[in-house]
Amino acid sequence: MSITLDFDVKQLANKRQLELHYLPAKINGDGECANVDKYFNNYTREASDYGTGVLTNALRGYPLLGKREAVPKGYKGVVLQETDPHQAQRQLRLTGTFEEFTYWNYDKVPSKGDGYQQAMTMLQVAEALAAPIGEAELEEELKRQQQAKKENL
Amino acid sequence: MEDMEIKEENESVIDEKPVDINKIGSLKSLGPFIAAHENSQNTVYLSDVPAICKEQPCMLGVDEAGRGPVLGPMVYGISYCPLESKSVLVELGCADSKQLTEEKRDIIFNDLNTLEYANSCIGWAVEIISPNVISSSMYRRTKCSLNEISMDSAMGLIQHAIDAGVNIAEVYVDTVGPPEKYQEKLLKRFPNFKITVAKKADSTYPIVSAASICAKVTRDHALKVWQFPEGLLIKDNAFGSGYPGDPVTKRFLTEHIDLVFGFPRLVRFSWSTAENALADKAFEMEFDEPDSEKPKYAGTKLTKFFKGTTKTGEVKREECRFFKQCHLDNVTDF
Amino acid sequence: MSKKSTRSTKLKADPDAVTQQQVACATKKVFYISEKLLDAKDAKDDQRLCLEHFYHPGKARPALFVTLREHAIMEVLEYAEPRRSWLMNSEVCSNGRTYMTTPIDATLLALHHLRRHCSQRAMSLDNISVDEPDASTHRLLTKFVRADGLKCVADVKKSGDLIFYKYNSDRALAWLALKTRQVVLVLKAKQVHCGLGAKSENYVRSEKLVEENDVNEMDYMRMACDYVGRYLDADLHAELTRYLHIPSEIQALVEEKANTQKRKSQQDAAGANSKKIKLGNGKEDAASQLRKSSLLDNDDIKEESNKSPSTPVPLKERSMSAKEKALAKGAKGSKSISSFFKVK
Repeated sequence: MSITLDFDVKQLANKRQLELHYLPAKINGDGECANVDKYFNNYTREASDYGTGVLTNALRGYPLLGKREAVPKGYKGVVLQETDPHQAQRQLRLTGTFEEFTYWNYDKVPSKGDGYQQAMTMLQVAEALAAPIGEAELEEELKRQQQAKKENL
Repeated sequence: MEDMEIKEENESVIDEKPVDINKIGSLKSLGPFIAAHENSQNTVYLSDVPAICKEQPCMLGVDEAGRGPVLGPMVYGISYCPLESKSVLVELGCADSKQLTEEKRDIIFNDLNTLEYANSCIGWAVEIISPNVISSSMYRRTKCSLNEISMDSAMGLIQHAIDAGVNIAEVYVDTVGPPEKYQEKLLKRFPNFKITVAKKADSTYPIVSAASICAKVTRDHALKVWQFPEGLLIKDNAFGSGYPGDPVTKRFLTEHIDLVFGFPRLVRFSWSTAENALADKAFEMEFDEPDSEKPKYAGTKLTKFFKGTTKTGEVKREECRFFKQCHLDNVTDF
Repeated sequence: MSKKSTRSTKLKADPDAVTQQQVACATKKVFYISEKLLDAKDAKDDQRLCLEHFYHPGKARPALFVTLREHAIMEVLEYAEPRRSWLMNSEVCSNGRTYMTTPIDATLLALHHLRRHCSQRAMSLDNISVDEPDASTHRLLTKFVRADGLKCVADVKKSGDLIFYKYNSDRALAWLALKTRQVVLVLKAKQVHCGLGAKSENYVRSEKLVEENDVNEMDYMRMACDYVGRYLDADLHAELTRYLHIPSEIQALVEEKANTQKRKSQQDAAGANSKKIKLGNGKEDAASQLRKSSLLDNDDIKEESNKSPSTPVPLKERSMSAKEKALAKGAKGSKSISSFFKVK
């Protein structure tokens, strides 16, 4: 059973850009949250003491440290929404796209050590695993293998 | 001698522009000063240092206002004057600030700043500690208690006075907690001062009383002129005393809940009153556990090297460590 | 108290509204989609990406992949930190995952099926999947697995229009070994922390680097193999580990510790010799000095010289190696491994 991503590639260019925040909390709820600007964005400040581009804010009193983060190179950020999960032919519609978002940590300066950053490194590791192996290279390795086998006999 | 002093004072007044939002010269200018500063961050104000306070050995009092309430800033205040000017404090009416009405405190605060006999020998300073800062300090990964915040503020203000040239000899501090530890900490930082930390110091020492009045008047005004960046409009800013028992405060807390963000940042989220008011009424939210409650990392567990088995006896496969570390996985349920 | 009663009345009023919203929005998902799947230039009409399940050998069950028509396939991974959520414009989204499409060589997915069906005899791809309960294997093998990948892991026989494949273990291992080395290169380039213990940005980048170079090399190899292995059947993963001569981590730890001990005691012997000369005139006799120092680390000697001769430091050292031996035999216990192998 497959799920269709029901959008045309050509749509992406003129789809509205979304303003995203990646929050360091589990929130047990979904839906309209009309006060983002007044209750949150209003309070975002630059905190150069922590490094260039580091931002501060708080969520329910919890101190946040954040940074503007770009979608990894070679990727497009999109938000998809399932039309009706109970339908036989499942579909995801395009809600919007984004190129940047604000990444927030709970009381920790965003750094390479963050799980998120490490996970993004993985994209390049996957690239390396997927890269094809050349015929000549393989033959050479096979020769080495045979050689080693002989030596062990 | 006295004449010279007056001249100096007058000169400095002339130097200032008539309407200066950054200067508190009277009760009237307190509100505008506070309103002009961001209420999500701390604000420090230092009065001009009377010349005599730079020469004569001074006593300095420290007190705080608004420690307990769930709403608004906590304000730390200091005041200082030459040891020999104690009578001026009494004349002003600096007695147990808790015994004074709000009106009386306002009058004393105004006199302190406008009457020449007072402002020529008494200086003061306050730090308005934003409720936003209080919450985020107490909710740090390594928790910072309200006591630590208080002490840091008190010591910061004393340092400001030193830096401004006040010739401090004696320090009197009001405390709610045990005085001994506090005294020890202050002595360590300021070994050259005679330091007295006492409960109810504001009723014992007029200089602490003066500090207490500055703090309390500032806190009251901070609430009066509070502007909500959240866009809330509350008639006369009537949110009550901020004490959990106050029905007005209670109503304010129940009526201004945002499902995601909880309260406007006038509220100290780290108060259990605030936490309880949000339970069931706003989305449940969970952050990483504070460092103190996390089990300490004790190296890789030896058991990790023995492959786990499921109940049916087959060997469980460990996910690639790197994947696990950075929370990556395949998608099996979608 | 009245607080309680207001809470419960509120509860009655709220949930409906909340759950309705949840249904509408919990289904929003943040994706990073590779631009390779989104190239508008050769986009034809009605070209839609598809999410579909294929058997994932490492997971031993179907997992999600994204496909573009009948020619491109990528794996779908999720970044799922335990406490994350999204704000999107003016909406909150409890699903804090980030899904991403990552490149995959479909040959890896094919290996499972080849080993199962074509170890003894050559089969056509059509025939391999004929017994499979669902159509996904057939679709995977006939649409997304490429011939130039298959010939790296299988012997290919052609008969007319038909192509038959027979799994070739030697080729497969050689191919996987090369893949692993490709991964090592990028792990190194990205300075991914591959050793044991809590990941830390600065840990590897210290003066230890030179000294631990060999260890690092093996750590990288082990991590790469661990990573490649997550796309293989468990037994093939084990084969690859053997093929690459990667010792198990515990084995490596014990050996490493033994080597350092050896190195240190050699150094100690040398150190003791020089000491012997120096102490030649001293009261302590050289023999006891030598005997003692052969049991000691260099550091311990320094410490020892400052303390009374009866300090029990060497005892501690000896008891540790006893523990190691026990450990190497697979001692049980929940004590942390690092307590046995503290850096001295």
